[in-house]
Amino acid sequence: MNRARLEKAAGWTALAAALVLVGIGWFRSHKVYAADSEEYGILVFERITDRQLVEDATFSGVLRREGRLFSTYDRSQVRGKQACPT
Amino acid sequence: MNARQITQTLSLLLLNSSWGPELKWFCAPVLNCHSCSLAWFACPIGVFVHYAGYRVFPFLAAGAVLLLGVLLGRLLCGWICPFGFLQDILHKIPSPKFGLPRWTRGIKYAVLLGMVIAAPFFLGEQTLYSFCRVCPASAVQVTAPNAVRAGFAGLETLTLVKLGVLVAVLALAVFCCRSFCRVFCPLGALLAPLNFLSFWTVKVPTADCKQCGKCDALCPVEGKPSLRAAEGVDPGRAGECIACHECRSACPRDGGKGDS
Repeated sequence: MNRARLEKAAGWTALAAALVLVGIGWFRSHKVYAADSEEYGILVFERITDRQLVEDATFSGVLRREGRLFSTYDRSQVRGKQACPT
Repeated sequence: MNARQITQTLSLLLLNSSWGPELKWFCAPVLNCHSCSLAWFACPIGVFVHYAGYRVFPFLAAGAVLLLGVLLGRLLCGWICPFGFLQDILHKIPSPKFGLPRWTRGIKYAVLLGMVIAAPFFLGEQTLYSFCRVCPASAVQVTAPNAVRAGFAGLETLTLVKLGVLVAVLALAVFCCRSFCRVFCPLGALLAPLNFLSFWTVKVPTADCKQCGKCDALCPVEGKPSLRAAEGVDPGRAGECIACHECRSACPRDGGKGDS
């Protein structure tokens, strides 16, 4: 197999891998606990999509504590644009 | 203005013209801070930092970077990235110009592993050692405007460090073309290997190269296209090639005809 064919084959393989990653990400969900759930001693969580987690990552809307993901804001409220504190 | 500069200007405006709809679930593989309220898309490096802190694999973000990287390679750096555009403009300032040793190219891989993956993974996504804390794109889009708005009053040490890094990066760009992209950019580290297999590549005629060196003189990343052409290897397949197409337009054998 010459170099050009090898590059093309590698390109198509990587493209397929990218589509698989996007596909998994599109349908994946994450368990995120409510920010104030610890006050009542009951862990309340909801499932959010990977898309929502990416959005939350852009403004630190989720933090990891003791192996769990916790929301930093009230998800029942409509949120506007938020900036990342970092 | 040439086609690349027009594209870079349009990219800068289009990437930072959000009037409201939330599209930050999509990572545009260019260094454009998502903290800027005008940004449409998420920065993949910022998302990787947070996901490393969450200890969750970023399927969607990694898929988007890989997808666009495979299709376009580092054309994204050369034609789309707003921070690359800023460096290109600064390099036009008349001043002594110098090159960089080849070994410096490896630093960006250490930045990717250390400041984007390892530090947030082990120390949490809010760590002071993550790339976002010193990102010059974030500094120019968010930190500097906020500092100006506050009248430079009560700036924290972290903010001063970030602004200091920005000044150093921009100053270096005046003397050395695309120095940040070549040496420090973690996104460049992700996209560089994809140049070897991307569907978009600059095709300089290698078979009848006369080694005139005109392409070498114009290459902004010191890629030495003529040496690669002499070896019969496509210059566009070099990891550092940002697909600016300057080599192709300079080539007397090709005359800048067409693209890949």
